[in-house]
Amino acid sequence: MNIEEYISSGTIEAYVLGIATTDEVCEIEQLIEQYPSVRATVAEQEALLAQYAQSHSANPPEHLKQNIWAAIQEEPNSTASKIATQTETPKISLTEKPSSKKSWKGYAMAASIALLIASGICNMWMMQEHKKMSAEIANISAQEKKLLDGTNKALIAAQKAKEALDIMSLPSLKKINLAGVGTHAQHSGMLYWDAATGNVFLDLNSMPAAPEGKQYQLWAIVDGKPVDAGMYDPSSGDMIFKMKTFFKAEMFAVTIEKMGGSPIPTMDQMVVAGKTS
Amino acid sequence: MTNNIALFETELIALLKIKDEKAFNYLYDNYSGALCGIILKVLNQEELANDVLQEVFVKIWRSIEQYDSSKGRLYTWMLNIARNSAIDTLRSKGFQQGQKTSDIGNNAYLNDGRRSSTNNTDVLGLKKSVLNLKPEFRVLINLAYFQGFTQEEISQTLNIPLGTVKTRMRNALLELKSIFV
Repeated sequence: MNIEEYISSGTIEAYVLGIATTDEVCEIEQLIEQYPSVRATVAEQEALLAQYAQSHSANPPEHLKQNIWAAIQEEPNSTASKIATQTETPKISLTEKPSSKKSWKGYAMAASIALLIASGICNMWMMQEHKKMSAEIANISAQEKKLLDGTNKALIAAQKAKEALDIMSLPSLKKINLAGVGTHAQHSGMLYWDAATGNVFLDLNSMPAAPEGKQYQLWAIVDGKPVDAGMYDPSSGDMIFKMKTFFKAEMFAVTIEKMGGSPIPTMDQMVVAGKTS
Repeated sequence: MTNNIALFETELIALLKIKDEKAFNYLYDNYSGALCGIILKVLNQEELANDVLQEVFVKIWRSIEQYDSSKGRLYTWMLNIARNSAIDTLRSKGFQQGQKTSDIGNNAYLNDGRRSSTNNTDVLGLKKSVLNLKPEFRVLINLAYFQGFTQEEISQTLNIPLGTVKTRMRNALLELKSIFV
């Protein structure tokens, strides 16, 4: 399939407008997974329509907010609402009624089961007839799995990078350079702080991993006293980490502490630090 | 909304999932205008639109677990819930019967401008730019987006070949892009 041609065919526009046929929806949802350019076009069109919708904004009456909050509060207890959610929630999908998706998934499931059975039969026959060949097939499928895993990992990494970028490009965010301290002068880290919301994000990607059995711990210096700002846990795979919330701090510092952190910082284990102003 | 990024979408989702009232306030203050606008545009009836808006917020609140951020933005998801709910109401029997008797009332309301706009300058700017959209494109987008027409219905209503509906949609959105960006 020529993906550029597909993008200019108008099918994506039909999809975001909610008028694509069931087949088109299935096709696009698969293409979104495969082609970043399709995903990007869908996102762009959705943003356009969101703006279009926004241009029709209207203010609901004042009292409605309390009414809705009251309705939300009582909803979970009433049986009527339980039935309502059971029947209604499946309708909610980004663009298409889920029934089509379900049936598509059903077909996909049936197809994969059929494939599985077929490959099982095929394998059995091969084991009897050509043991060597079946070993080779197993080898190839292992390689394929490895490749697939790699692709998934790359996709997740790309998603994480995008999230990090979104956070870092917020205009209200202050960028604080954490410089190396003492014997750690060659190291540095970055901290992003939004004093208005108190959000603190830490980026220690350029630092070596903490020593075995140890962890980096962030401290905020508030009114001259160190306050625990959370543990840095690189195992999550995030590019930058959301730490504890601070509305006020003169300084941020990172120390090496035992796993799980310490109640007070081990001062001679300070690696990087930076002032907020 | 642009200068009020007090909560990131991801954080908002997290708050919604733990059913935090702060999340509701944020959600309502920032999105009720857009959601109400889309519903009103579909239904053209203030009172009914308010009922649907309430239903939509309850749905969002109760189905947040089903929101999948890999499939699109939270805002788009919410707009689609509002749009689908409004279109479902539009297509329901009760609505069509009530519509016949209340036409005059609706028009009076639509023209008085009492709540037709928010004081948000962003929205005012958007409203102005939308006026630059060619009427034929506006009709096309509105039939699909606000009225829930299918490709066949659009082809019949506007008397254009079914095969060109998608091409026209693309042209319409390209023009929308040129006036927004």
